[in-house]
Amino acid sequence: MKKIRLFFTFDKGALTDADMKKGKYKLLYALLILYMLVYFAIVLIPVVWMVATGFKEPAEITGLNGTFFPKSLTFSKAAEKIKTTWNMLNIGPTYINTFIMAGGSVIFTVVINGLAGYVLSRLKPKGSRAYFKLVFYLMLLPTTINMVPLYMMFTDFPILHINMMNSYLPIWLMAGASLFDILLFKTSFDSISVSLIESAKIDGAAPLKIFFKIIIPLSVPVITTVAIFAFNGQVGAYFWPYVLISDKNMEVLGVKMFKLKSGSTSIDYKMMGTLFSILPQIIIFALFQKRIIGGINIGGVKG
Amino acid sequence: MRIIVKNKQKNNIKKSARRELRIKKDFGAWALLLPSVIAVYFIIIRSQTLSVFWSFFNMQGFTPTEFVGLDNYKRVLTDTVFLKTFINTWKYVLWSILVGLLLPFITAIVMNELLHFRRLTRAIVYLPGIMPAVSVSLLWYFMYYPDASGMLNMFLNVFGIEPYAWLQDSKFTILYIIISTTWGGAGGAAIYYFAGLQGINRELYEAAMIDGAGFFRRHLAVTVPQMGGMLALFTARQCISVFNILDQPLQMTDGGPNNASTSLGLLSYRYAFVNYRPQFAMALSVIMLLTLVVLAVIYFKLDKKLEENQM
Repeated sequence: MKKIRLFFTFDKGALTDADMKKGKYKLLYALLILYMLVYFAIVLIPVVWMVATGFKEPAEITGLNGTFFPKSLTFSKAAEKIKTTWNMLNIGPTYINTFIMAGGSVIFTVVINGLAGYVLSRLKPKGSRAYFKLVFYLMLLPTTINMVPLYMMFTDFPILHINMMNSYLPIWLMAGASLFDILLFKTSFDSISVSLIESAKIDGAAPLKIFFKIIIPLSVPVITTVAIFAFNGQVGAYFWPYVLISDKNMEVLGVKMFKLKSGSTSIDYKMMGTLFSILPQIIIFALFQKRIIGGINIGGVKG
Repeated sequence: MRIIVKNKQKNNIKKSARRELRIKKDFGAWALLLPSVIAVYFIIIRSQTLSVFWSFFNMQGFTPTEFVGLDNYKRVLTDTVFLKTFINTWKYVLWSILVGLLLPFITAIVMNELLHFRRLTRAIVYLPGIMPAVSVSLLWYFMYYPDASGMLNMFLNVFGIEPYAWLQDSKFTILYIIISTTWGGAGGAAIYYFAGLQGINRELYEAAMIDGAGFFRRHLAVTVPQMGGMLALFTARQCISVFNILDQPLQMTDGGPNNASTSLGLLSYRYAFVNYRPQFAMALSVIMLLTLVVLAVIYFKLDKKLEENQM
């Protein structure tokens, strides 16, 4: 938690004020600025090109005389383009599907892994240390190995014998087994002062009550961080939705992007579609910038 | 005597009551842990175990039929594309180390030194990190487009250079895919490193400065040792994730041209969901897992030796 605050009052780097008076270091500083500008260009040019291409006419894209920016762009043309892309790619329903999938994942991630973190950090029943160790070592294993058994499990779930194809349930369940988030929640709950919990215990509060009345209000930062990261991660998910969901009415953004590459639409519509696929994240990033960077920090300190 | 016996009995009653309470409490705690145990069991433990188990079985579609011993492994290892794919996977790892390892670290150091527009800098550096990987792949697929409509060929055209086939150039397909993944991932890594750099005690730099260390010497003497653990961890994580690369080649090239960019992960996907031979996919996954385990063991041994030498 201490580290996050650091972020709002930045520390300087290795260069000191005394250094900056020397010509040599002024030149170095200029070179560092130059490095950053080149980096900005590499990051931004593709993004700008994506937006610009999205607004071009198909004739402007092909052919050797193509330009970086659209030649004849008017406001009404741009609005028309956005509207046709929106309708053609069915963006509205896709957004709704994606939000259902990602929102459900967020709930599963936060509730299941949050409770696990709480038990491992605070209640520590007999045998929970072994579970914690297990979680830690399982995290090191690659996930591609269980592709086939997972698929088989979702077509015929053991014990219950239900087919989970064409539902978002498998994706939500997978979100419930996020080992890294268990560790994140545990370390964050570890840092909550014991005396608060002790006094609640003396007052006779049950573990669940302590969880809802003390732990949750104090853990709003870590919960929002995990939620945002889970949401952002799931908005672009495409592999499992692609493999598991064949119902066209349930298609999500990631799958749409995957199919867009080979679709018959022209490049401008594809780039406009890509723009739609990052719009939710851009809005979230703009709203929660501090949380996201702070969250990276929690993970970074841990890592 | 009587009093003592009575006390003992009392104590025993208290103890058992306490134990009962403890068990009750533990039971409640485990009940809260249960959803996580169920999810971890089904999603991770059960499926990974079955993956190993079923790799020794023949399969009819997605149903295991009979035990065939090492047959699946034989078939996978003698598949004509296996060796090529295995080498390709290492190419992915090597290129990603060459292109993607130091770039975010250096960027983080520069971010840490620059004192102007820090908030804006951070936001721009992180920008590609908020794009879903699938969108990054799509964007770069069209930037690499082989005719003049691709962005990179448009730039080449400005200099009068003929359009280049980029992803179709089998020698460098893997490098180009790695460049696109690095573009998408370096920003996030740089922000992580930046967080680590901010945690370094500035007095260390000042001490180095008093000893007369210049800018680069200060970083070699302070930053690198301070960040060594994080750097090693990120490198290991990056190698593991690139070793399993699947999404990007699947989307950008589908393994082409002529399997020049097929990775082990993609081959495994193809066995399972294109050729419907999931037993081969599982055998291949186990081979991949064993490779990683061997590497991990070597890594830990080397790490220990290095530590011993330093002692």
